[in-house]
Amino acid sequence: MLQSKPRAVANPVVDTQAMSRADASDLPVLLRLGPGGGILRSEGADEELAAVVANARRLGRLAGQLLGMDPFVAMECTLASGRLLIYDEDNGETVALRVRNEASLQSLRERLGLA
Amino acid sequence: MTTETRTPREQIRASLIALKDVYGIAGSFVFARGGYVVARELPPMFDDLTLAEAGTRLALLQETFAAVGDRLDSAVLRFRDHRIYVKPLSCGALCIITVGSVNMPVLRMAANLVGHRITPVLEPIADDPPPVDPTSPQLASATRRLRGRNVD
Repeated sequence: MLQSKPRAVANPVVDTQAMSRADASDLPVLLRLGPGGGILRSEGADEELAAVVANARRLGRLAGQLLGMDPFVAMECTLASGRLLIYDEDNGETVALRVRNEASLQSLRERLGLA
Repeated sequence: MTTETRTPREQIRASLIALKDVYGIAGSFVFARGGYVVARELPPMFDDLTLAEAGTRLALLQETFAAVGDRLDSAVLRFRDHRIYVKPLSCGALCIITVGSVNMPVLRMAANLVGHRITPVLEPIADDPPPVDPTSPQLASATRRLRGRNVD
């Protein structure tokens, strides 16, 4: 297994409130889940998406753990319906953003501290 | 005209070896429907049982999106030092493990090319039962379960 070193750089807790205003056109869906999977905030997301995000994040984290790749940072999914970015914050919350195909995922990663 | 004498697994593995030409790729593996590992090109520290368990989770990841009528075209799982690039195929998935920085457009292109190459080879064997290795930990654990139920 790959050795997991202590986490050196913490993920920033992102001000999605401000981000949602600035990037509303690029991010049509914003979802924030609590550590238990409950919906803390939802803009354009339904409960079905919340369940998908919670399960996808759990499976991705598990797959990484099995391969010795803890800690999970983020997951970028390219779907038939568009792109979905899921990431963990240090407070244990999970954020999911649907990203329009025209939007730059790289600049979003940089703003979120995921680059 | 040349005749392919290698087994499908050997052909798939040859494609995985070619992936290592891309800077940052530590290795890769392919799992079939159900998650069992068909071919791998990874250091021995990754045992087949662990890869199969990870493969099962990644297969479920595909199914999670399929269950709501969506289709996963690719996924990048980012961990602190590593990434897992998952390229779903019609009969399984190609998983690529990267370390440090990797050129993502190159990785995507390489995954697409290898995916196209291995899909016709993987299709006929995707539903075959996994090969039984007498030294595998999977078999050892099955034997323990049998003994636990007093079955000889």
